Amino acid sequence: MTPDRLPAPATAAARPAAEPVPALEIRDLWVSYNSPAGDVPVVRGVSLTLGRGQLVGLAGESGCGKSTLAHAAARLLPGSGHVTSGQVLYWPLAAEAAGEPVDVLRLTGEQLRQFRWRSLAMVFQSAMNSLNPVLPIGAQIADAIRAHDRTVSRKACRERGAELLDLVGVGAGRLRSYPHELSGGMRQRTMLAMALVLNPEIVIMDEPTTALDVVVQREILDEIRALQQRLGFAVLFITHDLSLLLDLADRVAVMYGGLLMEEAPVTALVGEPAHPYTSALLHSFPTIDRQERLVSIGGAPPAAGSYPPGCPFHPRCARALDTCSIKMPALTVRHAVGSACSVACWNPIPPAQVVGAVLEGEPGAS
Amino acid sequence: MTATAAGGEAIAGLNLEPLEPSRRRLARPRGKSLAGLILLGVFVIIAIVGPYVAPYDPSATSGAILQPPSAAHLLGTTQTGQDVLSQLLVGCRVTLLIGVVAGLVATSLAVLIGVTAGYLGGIADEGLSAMSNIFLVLPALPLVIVLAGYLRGAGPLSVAVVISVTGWAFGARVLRAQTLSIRERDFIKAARLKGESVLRIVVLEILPNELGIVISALLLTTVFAILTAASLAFLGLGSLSSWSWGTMLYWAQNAEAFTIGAWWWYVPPGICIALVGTALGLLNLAIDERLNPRLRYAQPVRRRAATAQGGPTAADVPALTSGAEA
Amino acid sequence: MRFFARRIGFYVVALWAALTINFLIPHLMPGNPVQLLISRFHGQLAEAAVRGLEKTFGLHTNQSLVAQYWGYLEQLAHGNLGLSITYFPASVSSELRASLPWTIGMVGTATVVSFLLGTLAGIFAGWRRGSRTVDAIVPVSTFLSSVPYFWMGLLALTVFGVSLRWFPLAGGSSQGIPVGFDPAFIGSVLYHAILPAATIIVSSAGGWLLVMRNMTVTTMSEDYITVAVAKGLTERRIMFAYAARNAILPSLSSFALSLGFIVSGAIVTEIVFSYPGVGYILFNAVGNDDYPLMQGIFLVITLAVLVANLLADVLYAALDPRIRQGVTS
Repeated sequence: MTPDRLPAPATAAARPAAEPVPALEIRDLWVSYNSPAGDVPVVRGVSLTLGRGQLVGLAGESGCGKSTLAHAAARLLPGSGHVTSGQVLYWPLAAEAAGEPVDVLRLTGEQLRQFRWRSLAMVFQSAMNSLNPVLPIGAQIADAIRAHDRTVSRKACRERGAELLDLVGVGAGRLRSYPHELSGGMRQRTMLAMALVLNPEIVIMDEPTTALDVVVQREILDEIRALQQRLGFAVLFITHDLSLLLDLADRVAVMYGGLLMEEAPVTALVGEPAHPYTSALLHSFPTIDRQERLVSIGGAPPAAGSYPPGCPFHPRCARALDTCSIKMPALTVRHAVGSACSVACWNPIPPAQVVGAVLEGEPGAS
Repeated sequence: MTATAAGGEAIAGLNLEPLEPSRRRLARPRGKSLAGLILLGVFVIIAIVGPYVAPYDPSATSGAILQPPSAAHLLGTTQTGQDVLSQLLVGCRVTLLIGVVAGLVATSLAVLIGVTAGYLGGIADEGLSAMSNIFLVLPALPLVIVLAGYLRGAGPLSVAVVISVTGWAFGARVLRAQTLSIRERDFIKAARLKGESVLRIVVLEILPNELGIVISALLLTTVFAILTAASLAFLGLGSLSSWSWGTMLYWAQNAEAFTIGAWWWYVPPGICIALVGTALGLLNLAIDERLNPRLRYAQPVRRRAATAQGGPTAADVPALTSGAEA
Repeated sequence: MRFFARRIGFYVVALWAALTINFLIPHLMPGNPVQLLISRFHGQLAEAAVRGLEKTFGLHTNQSLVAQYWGYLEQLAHGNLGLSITYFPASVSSELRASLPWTIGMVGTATVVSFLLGTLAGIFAGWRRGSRTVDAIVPVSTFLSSVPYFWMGLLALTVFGVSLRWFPLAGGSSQGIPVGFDPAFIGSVLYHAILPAATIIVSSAGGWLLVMRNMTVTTMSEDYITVAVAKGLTERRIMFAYAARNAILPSLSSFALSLGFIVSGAIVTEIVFSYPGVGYILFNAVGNDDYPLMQGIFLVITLAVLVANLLADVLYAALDPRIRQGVTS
């Protein structure tokens, strides 16, 4: 399937010498799954950069491909999924002087195994089932340590485990507990502790708080923020709830239909969203400082495999033009607002005008 | 530096549900059930027409003693000159009949007790479960032997009943567990609120959802029954008056066919029993895969997907481990 | 520990049920077994034997059923299972004492080996699923587990015993060697046990394999396996500590069912190989209408099965902390 859009802008391909080296760079990634009808692309050319120590939020509705993107970058795609093109580059801190990134997608064997968790760790959505029910959590933490260095003594593993559990607020006394003895919140904190055990430079969090109640959710988010600032790892935080990112993220990327719609520092995104979809998302949840009608986005997101031609959002967009149904716009930098903001839209919202950019409850634009 | 397809095995541990089933993978359960059905069908046909197409009367003796297979006797003869092929063909009916009757009776018992226990809950459940657990744990064959010993000389039907008495417990336990979980589902609660009678709910709402398990239990119990009946007959406890594959083996053992190497006598009945068991087993596996979607989708070992620009594909993703592959 | 209390309580009840069934069978069967036996032996049963039989069955006709039942239980408490007809005047208990060690030794070992083999193979079959060679093991195991034990045994006997003469045809040990804990005797015992044990292993391993394979495949799609991969654990560690340890639990909890099959197979195997264990004795008992012995064997086998189940429960509790702590979810 040929991409029906313009090629990516030149700024994404090369890395200007003056810019700081990022931790992780996803370049024009395409990921597909098997199906009887052939390959179904779920991620359709997404480029994303994660700076050192940054917390980047990736927001989007279910099925937009954000989870798939994360799994692909972490080399955790199931056998039915595969990367069809693109690159995932990782710049280890230690090797920064050399300037050569690690091609994550081409790692094999022992190199891949060592890359896992030491460089890139992941916190999954459902901690309910993410912990082995028959092993104590201390053992599961120790597993991660010893998988990468057999020489570490059991005592050292225990100490490290205790240190981490204290760090996340579970308590060192829980080293010998089994997963079923912990509450949902504590289990998720344990997942967090486990992710940090090898001091990774990158942590991908795939909806880590979705399965928790709101109060616990808040605590975990605060915990994540605190840990990140203390230990300095970069975070890719994936969620369908944009509101969570407002206090959490440095930058936010919005995904829809397998493509990035907008990417900007969080204040710019919230203050002046350029993409109609972003604006709609921002207006779909209540905030303290604004009093307005909640607006839902009419229509439904397209299922993978049946994306409309051109921009996937155009059937639900109030600002859609004729071009929108023909060609997908590339992610272009909004120089007017700041060099760090980009949007993929033929008819983005001008900086001053923010309200009224969405159809209320009506599907499809002409 | 191209990526090597090290090891070749796809990530074994990551069977995330694919978006849609691939045509290639769905062939697996179909293959099993087709093979099982065909195999079973062959034997069912033999059971029906066996007595009519058998070349000789299985009990008819003759002077041709212990003959290896020949034109006149395709599977040779026994120690008393009886035709082995005829015995095999005629015996199929009784063997299958005992198995099917025992399977049906045992499964009916299992449905009755298991679903009742699961649905009623409380004391009735405790009592019925205790009873099925006891029958489950009591060793079946010794009990069957003792019972059959007392009922010596009774027909194949008694054998079937005796086997059913010992074989229902396993199905009952599974059905009880399933009924317990279905009972809490919303559509059942809705039916109860509507005031539907218990019988209606059980028969029309619960049982259809358990059909797969009931069939699976039926298949497994039938296999168990056939094997047990054969063992009984072999021990001389079956009904020696009617021909079955187990009876054939009893007479073969009696005449020391095994030591004198009269393989044409004892190999066919044994293989036939195994084949019927295999047929039922394959059908059961196919149903298992149908009920448990996780068993359905196998990852292909090596994916040679066409890629847009020769980039990495799943085939390049190595096995989970470190140095397992070069 | 509540778990064990419940399980032991259950086994006690099951034992009681077995005892009671044992008692009721002769009373429920058509005809008076003692009369049956007397007529079968054409009145040649000694007076003592007749009295002994009546006592065993509790068939003192001047007592009520309940009283007979109490008498029977009392007898059992003293370890008195009655007198064997086949081996008269030997008692049932002495016959059992002689044959039980052979069964436990050969069948017990074969069962353990079969379980280990089948389970390990099942783990691999599930883990490496997708390759044709590995998946072929499924129909093969189905076939092997459908083959009647006794037939497999007879085949083995014919091929390896008669034709190839590699192994002996019958018995627990060679005739000339006296019983004792010396290498000659033990060697002979092992030599005689190989073929029957191999038969049991080959016939029953398939069942374990299939169950384990299915459970392994199901377990592999659990989230914690994905996490284990993400952590960079070695394949071996994931396969055993994460997948297999969870996958094996249903096998252990349904051990009772599998054991039933194995016991049946063991009995018939002993008969085929004339191995002097409990199954062989049972066969002779059946042939001689030796009801006291038959029922005594039933009791003993039941007891052994219950003990084996208890051991499986212990293993299960050792592996699964949720069971140890009585968690239901």
